[in-house]
Formats: sequence, C-alpha cells, structure tokens
Amino acid sequence: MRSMNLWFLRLYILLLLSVIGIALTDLPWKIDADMYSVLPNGHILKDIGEAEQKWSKNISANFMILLSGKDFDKAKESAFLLYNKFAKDSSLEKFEIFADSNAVQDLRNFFFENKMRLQTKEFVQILNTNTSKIQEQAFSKIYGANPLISLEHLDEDPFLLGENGMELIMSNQAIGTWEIRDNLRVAKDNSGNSYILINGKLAKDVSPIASKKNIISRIKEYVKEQNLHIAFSGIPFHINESSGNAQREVAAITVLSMLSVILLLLFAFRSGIPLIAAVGVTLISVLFAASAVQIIFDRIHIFTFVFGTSIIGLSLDYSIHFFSHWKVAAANENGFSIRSKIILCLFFGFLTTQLGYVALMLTRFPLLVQIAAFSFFGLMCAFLSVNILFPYFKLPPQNKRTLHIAFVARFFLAAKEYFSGNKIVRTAVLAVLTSTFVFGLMNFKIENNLKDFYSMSKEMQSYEKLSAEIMNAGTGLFYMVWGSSPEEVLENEEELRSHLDTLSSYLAVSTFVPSAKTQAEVYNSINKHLLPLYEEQSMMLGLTIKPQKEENNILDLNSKFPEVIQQTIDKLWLGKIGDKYYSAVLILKVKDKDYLKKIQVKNAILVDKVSEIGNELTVISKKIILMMLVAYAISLLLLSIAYKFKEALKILIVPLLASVISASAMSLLGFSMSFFAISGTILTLAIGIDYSIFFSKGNGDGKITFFAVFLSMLSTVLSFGLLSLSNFAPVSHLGLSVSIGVTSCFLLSFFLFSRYER
Amino acid sequence: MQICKITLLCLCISVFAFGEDKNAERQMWEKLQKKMEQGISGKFRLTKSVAKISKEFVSQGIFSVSKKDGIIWETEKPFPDLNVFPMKKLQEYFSGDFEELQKKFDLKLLADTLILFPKEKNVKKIITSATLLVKGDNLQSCKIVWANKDYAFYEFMVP
Repeated sequence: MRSMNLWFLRLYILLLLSVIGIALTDLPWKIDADMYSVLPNGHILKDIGEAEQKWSKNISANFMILLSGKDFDKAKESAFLLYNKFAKDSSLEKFEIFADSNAVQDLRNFFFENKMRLQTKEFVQILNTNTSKIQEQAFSKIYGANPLISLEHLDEDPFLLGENGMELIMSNQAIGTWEIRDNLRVAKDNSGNSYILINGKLAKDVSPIASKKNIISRIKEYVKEQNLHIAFSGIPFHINESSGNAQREVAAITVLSMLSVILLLLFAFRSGIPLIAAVGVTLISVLFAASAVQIIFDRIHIFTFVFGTSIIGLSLDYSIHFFSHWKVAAANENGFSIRSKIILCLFFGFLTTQLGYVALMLTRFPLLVQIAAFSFFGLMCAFLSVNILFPYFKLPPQNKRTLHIAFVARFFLAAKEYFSGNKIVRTAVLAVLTSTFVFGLMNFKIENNLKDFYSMSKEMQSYEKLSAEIMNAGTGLFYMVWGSSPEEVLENEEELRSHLDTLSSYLAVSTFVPSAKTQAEVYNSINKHLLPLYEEQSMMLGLTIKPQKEENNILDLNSKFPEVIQQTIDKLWLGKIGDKYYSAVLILKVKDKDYLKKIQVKNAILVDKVSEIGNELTVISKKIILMMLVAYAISLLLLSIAYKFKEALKILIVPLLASVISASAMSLLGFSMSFFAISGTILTLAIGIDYSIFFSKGNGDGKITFFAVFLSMLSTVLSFGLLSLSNFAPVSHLGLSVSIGVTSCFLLSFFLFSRYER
Repeated sequence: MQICKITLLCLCISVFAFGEDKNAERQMWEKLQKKMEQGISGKFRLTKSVAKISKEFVSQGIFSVSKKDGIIWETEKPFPDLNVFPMKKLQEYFSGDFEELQKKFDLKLLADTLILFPKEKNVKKIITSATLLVKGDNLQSCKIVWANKDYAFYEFMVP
C-alpha cells in the first residue's frame, strides 16, 4: 500500500510541479475583466461573431471625459491640467482636447468636390421629376437671408450642389450640441453648466482593469487628488469600476471565508494539524486551478476568482472527512487505514461533483466554462492531495482522540427523534415543503436580464446620465451588415437605410461613401437634368464662366475624407473578416424599437446584444438543466455498480429534492431564476450528492460521519453564503442558491439516511 | 455645426440690435432687446458679395421679427421666396445675453456703429467681423464680413 502510494506521491508532485511550473512561465498572467468578451453569443450572431467582437473591441477602448467648472475659465483650467498630465501617456492611443479648427472648411471643400456624387435620394427624386424646384432652391439660397450658405464656388457650381449635399447629409448626423471655444469642444447641460470634452482611446493591449498603475485608475486618482469636477463615460471606466469592486470583493470574501473556516476547524478539531493541512491543501488547489486555467485559456477572468472562492469550501470537505476519522482513530489505525475507510465515498462524491462541473463546461458560455474548469482542477487537486498526502500524517496521541460536537449532535439527534416520533410535526413539515414547492414553482421563471447583472454605482449612473444629456450616446443597438465585396456591403446598407430613414437617426458608412451604383445614379441624374441648365442658370446669375462637365471619380473607402468623416468611417467599417466584408450601422435614436426588429434586409441583422445575451443565457440555463440530468443518469449508473440500483436512486433523489427546494425558495424570495441561480441549483446537485452518499453509505461510526458531513456543509455554506453578499448579482444569486440547496441537502440526508443514534 | 452657430448668431445680432444708446454697448444692447420683444417689421435690402468672382447678388423684400413667429423674411426681388426662422431655434444658438456676446466677441463702439470681432481662433477663420449701424431708434444696417472677403450687407428700412 505504502509503496504504491509512493508512486502516486511522485506522480502527484510531478503533476503539480509541471502544471504550476508551465503556468508560471507565462507570468505576468493576463487578467481579463471585460464582461463583453466572455458573454455567450446568440445563435444568430454565431456566424458573424468575429465581426461583432471586432466592433465591440473598437468601441470598448474609447472613452470620454467631461470637465466642468464654475465658469468656462475654471473648466478650461481643469481640462488642461488633466490633458497636460496624460496627453503623452503611452497607455493611451488618443487623448484629444482640441477641436479641428479647419473642420468646417474641410467639409465644405469635400462636399463641393463630390457634389456630383454626394446627394440624398430625395434630392435625386426631385431632380428626376421637378428640375425647376432645384433651380428655385438654388435661387433661394443665393438671394435668401440665410447666411449659412457659402457662395464662393458659385461660378463652378451654380446650383450650389456642394452646399446642398453638405446641408442635407450633415444635418442628419447627430453631432450633439457642441460649440468650439478657445479651440476646445464645449457643451452645456440642461442647467446651463459648461463642460469641456476630452476624447480618449486606450492603446492596443492596454487593459482598463483596476490597478494602481493602470491608466484609467491613474486618471481617476489624479481627478480625485486635484478635486476636478468631472464626468466619465465609456466602457473602460465601467470595467475599471467593476474590476475594482470585484478585486475588493475577492479579497474580502476570501479573507472572511478563510477566517471563518480556520475558526471552524480550530473549534472542531482543537488541533493545529488539520487546520494547517486543510488550509495548505486549499491554497495548493487554488494555485493549481489558476495555473490550469491560465494554460488552457491563456488568461483568467476576474470573476473566475470570485466564483472560484467556492473551491475553498469544497476542497475542505475532503480534509474534514479525513481528519474526522483521524481525530477518533482506534489504537491500531494509521493514516492509510483511515483513507481506506473513506475513499469509496470520497471517490463517488468527487466523481459526481466533477460530472456536474463537466456539464457546466459543455455550455457555450465562456465565463462559466472557465469557472467550471477552475473548479474542476481545483477539486481534483484537493482530492489527490488529501488522499495521497494525508495518510502520512501522524495520528494524535491516544488521549486526545475525541470529537467536540456534543451540543450540535444533541440538537440534531433530538430533532430527529422528535420528528420520527411525532406524526403531526412530520405532516406539518411535509405540508410546508409541499407548499414551498407549489408556490415556488408557480412563480418559477427562467429569466435573464443582463441589465440586472451589472449595477452601476450611483456616481457612474449620474455620469452616464449627464453624458447622454450632452452627447448623443446612442441606443446600444446596431445593425451588422455584410457582403462579398465592399460595394455589396454599401448597397445593403443603403437598402437598410431606406427603411431606417423615417424612424430613427443613425450613423452609417454609406451616408458618406454611397455605393458606386448610387454615386453613378446621382452623377447621371445631375448630368441628364441639370447640366443642360448650367448655362442658363449662370446667365441668370450674371456669371460668364461656363461650368465644365466633370469626370465621375467614384468615391471609395480609400478616398481622402475630412477628419470628422474619416473617424466615423474608421469606427463603423469593420473590413474583411473571413471571406466577407462587414460594417456596422449604429442606431442613435429610435422611435419604435419593435419595428426595427421587423425590418428584413438581405445580409443585415439588428444586434441588440443585451437582449440577445439574456435570451441566450436562458437557452443555456435550460440546456444545463438537461445536461445535469444526463450527468445524474451517468451517476446513477456508476453508483448502481457500487451499490444496488434502488440504493443509488435513493442517494440521488435527496440532492434532486434539495435543488428543487433551492429553486422554489429563490422564487419565493422574489428572485427570478437567472442563469446563475440555475447554476447554483446545479452545483447543489453536484455538492449535495456527497452528503447523501456519506449518510447512507459511509463506513464506520455514524457519529464521525455526522461530524464530517456537518462540518463539510458548514464550510460550504460559509463560502457560498459569503458569495451571496456580493454586490455583483450573478455571484450573489449563485451563492444564495447553493447555500439554500446545500443546507436542504444536509437536512434531508440527515433525517432520511443517517444511522447516527444516541 | 460651428459655422451655422456663428452665422446664425450674426443674424440674431442684427435682429436683436434694433434701438439706440450711444453711451455704452451694454445699454444699447439691452434696449435693442427690449425693442425686439415689442416686435419690428419693415423693408430690407440684402447685398451678398462674392469676392472670388467679383459679383454682388442683391435682393429686396419685407421682414418682421416677433417673439411668437421669430423672423419672417420674405424676398420679393429678384426672386420671390419666404424664409422663416423660429425664435426658439435662434435662441438655441444665442440667448441674446450681453455677457454671452462679450464672451464671444470683442466689441468696439464708434459713434453709432458697433463692430463685433470674433474672439475664437477658429471662428476668425470663418468670419472677420459684424458691423451694426444704428440710426435713431433703429438698426439701419448690418454687415457680416467673411474671412474669404465675401460679405452679406443687410439694410433695414423700418417705418
């Protein structure tokens, strides 16, 4: 036995050293905090997921800062203080404060040069049907009071087509209510306060995750230090805030979890060895799990650590089972004989829990897959450590081999006796449980609203409200448009825009770069209807210069554009991905969201990521319930090999019932069954099965089994219960759901199976 | 867009600037506003000069300014046309507040002529000056000179 164990020990050390060693060569590990990147993709989005990710990446690096002051000069002073501090920071690709002072003239020249191609559809319609109206419009502009119209190109453009194109196309663009002052972009809120805008973009590979050195954290710190009045907007600030909160939570939950477990172990065993060994195994397991995740996924998401703290509770279970026997071992026993007593139950418990994690790993939700992998490897390490290392521990002196659980045991035994001897109480408990099931399941609804999962701080909410008031922040909706060539994409965009024009304002590449087909239509229409009138028009205006016919130099995506247009194109045009070209049409304002969904355009889909992800999480929730049932069927098969089929079925029914209680209780408490709450009930199945196995099939003294399972339950409830205090709704849902489930499972197993009697 | 704001501002200025006070710009400005609130109407003559082609475009017609209807600008010659600028829209660009005017322009008062020079570097790239000529109770003319030497000269005949 010992020599075989020595081999296992060697293999165990080799496994640990190689996994941790390989992962350590990747230091520093990449810590991910972008929720967008780890959320599931909907079915419809699957084919264009890459384009969508590119779009998300484009927008997730951008941010803006609004600086205010008592008056403009104070705001300007603050803005320059911040600008001068960070303008040359290498973590930023862009940090702009100055407006382009030539923007207006650049736009005017651009629209004049492209007057034969950049006109709206409505203009072409009028041109084709009522040319004299175009003439009238030109006269109105030339002689009218409106001083906005520049006449400087009148000799080459007697119908003012350039001015016309610029007026019609640019007036539809949402440019906010900015004005330029001292070459800075200044806007006012509804109360008349002035704000100066700084636009920023993170450099490539710069993460916004909260840390002292991080650029976003440094900006926030500097703003606090200088007491600047400021509003932030943009994904980097949200990631920074949520990752900061997550880190604080991880630290707090881990410390509290460890402390409570340390106290629990010290109280239970009254010895330092179980405590040191259990905590040591937990730490090794967490390090092993993190290393494995780093090797497999090349990065670790911050929430994997948050959820992963639950490993502390689970890995302790194995240690507790060993030391419960160790503490009351007979004189002729040693560590190896203790292991022999518990290994079968431990193994089946471990196997069924791992099956649960494998089921979670089969979902299409990257974050959950990573968390399940973390838990899988962590638990594997804990199982191996306990069974390979612990038998070597020297047993305590004979006079100290005793368990201190008298008062807890007394309480439970009294309760058990009371229930078994009192039919009325049993009926009452059964009635309460049945009503919980019925009312809970009546309210049971699988629902995932992404907006409920992320709660912004009040500060960030006020910033976003202010930004939306000042800027045109958009609706979060966009269309993904694709085609086999850039021309096809532009044509598809134009088709889409013909539906959008009446009900929304939007940003689209084809507004500035119409398809070659459309440009040719505009060009031909102007040549056909207006060119013959050029001479007459010039004469009427008293001009002697005769306009020349222009070549149709088609505008394309490689043409030179004014900066403001180029920036919009860069943002929206996603380019070639695979064998197709993609662009995004951003919806800024919408009158009827439902109508948008009904628009049917070839190779264009509306992406409402928030709703899509919510729906997808609901689909995954239903799938993991199904997969868990499959995992349970496999468990039934495995347990039937070791025990009888009927016995195996009894073992499995308890955690199933506990899961239903957990789901019902969550519904009764007013929580909708989110994906994370469902994951909690699934974990209940995976964890709770151990209690059922130990109570019904545990070897040896029922008292020791009770002690071990009770301590296991307590440590698990402590870990997950602390998770339920998290401000991050998914973590809280998971924690609460597991805590309720595991407690129920313990109680059900104890009252139905335990052979422990006075 | 900036150019829209500045040019509309000039248009507003010419409308707000009906009245007189030769002692101080502020007093004059406040009187002009008061007068405008009462409502004004009359005839106009507008000359737009385009330097590049050395050409002038002259139009004539009638106008009225009131809080309710904003500016109604009816061109009679050489081409009949009607433009309406709602007051609410104009006030989005310029409230009529003297402090705001001072922030955006350097003001120079020469006898009965108030000249406005934009302060902003980028505005200067578009507009050189706006000159208001006040005679008696009325604004007699307003000349907006663009950076490319074009100008728009508004002459008002108020009964």
